[in-house]
Amino acid sequence: MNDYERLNRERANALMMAVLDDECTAEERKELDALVAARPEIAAEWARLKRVREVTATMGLRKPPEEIWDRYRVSVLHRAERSIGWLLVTLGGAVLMGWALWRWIEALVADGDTPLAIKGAILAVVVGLILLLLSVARERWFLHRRDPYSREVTR
Amino acid sequence: METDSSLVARARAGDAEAFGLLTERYMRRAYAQALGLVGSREDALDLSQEAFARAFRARRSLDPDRPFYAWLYQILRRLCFNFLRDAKVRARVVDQGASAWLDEAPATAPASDPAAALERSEARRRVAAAIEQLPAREREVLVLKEFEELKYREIAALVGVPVGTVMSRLYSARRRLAEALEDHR
Repeated sequence: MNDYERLNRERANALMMAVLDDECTAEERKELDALVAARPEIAAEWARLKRVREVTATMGLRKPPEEIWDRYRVSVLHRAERSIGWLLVTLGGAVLMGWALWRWIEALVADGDTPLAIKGAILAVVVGLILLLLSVARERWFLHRRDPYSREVTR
Repeated sequence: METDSSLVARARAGDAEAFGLLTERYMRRAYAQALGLVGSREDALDLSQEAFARAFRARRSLDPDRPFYAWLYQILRRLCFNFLRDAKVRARVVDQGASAWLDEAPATAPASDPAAALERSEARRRVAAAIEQLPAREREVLVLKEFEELKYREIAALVGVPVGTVMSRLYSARRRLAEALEDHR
């Protein structure tokens, strides 16, 4: 398919959508009629797309029980409050655990009886954890920047 | 009835009651659009509530001069897409089948011809299964058009893409559904 044919085809596709969804002008409707009359492959596709529209027109999203709306608003506010609570608990917990871990490592390293191999293992675990955290953070940042959906988001 | 703009201005100033009114105004719409995207009632409820909760926390960044729902929808669709990205979750949703979220339109009258009714029912089942297999962005546009009955320009504003992109995604989605129907014949 050359560029001219591709452009014609894209035009035909757009016309089929616009007519199918009744978002076209009278001229566009005539333009599609002419294309359908002149080109059998477009006529065949137009028939298939109309069939799809006929089927989807008989479908709808299932409605939930009405009772859920009674609790909905309150649940949203509770959820917002809970997330603030979780954030505080997580931050506080992380600081406390980090502090406790640091004190424990400090005591182990200062203890002359601790074998050198154990001290080395502790160092390896600490460095490994830091590397893992940095790697996960970098991956998250990379994914966030390349997220195909986020590019469409306009705030 | 108080306008969205006025409620947004109050919510920005810390009025939780105003935000509650905005929630009541748009909860059905947010739920339906999440349902169309993720295909599970429980998850749609959870994701739409989470979107409102996140919007509540970020309410100070709301602009009273811009439509509230378009802003909320950006949060909602992001949550839904992230949800769908999880392959395990997606498999679970597909297992539930389309009957969990799709229904016959109320206008569909019982057919007098049982064979024709069966044929229609099978066609619906096939189309519903094909919708669940659509790429998320095509599914989004299809649901907004077919089930929410939005105009192209409204979809374009919500999704944040040009009208031409809405139409091409819609065409691609319908073509896939047509193929599913063709297999049936």
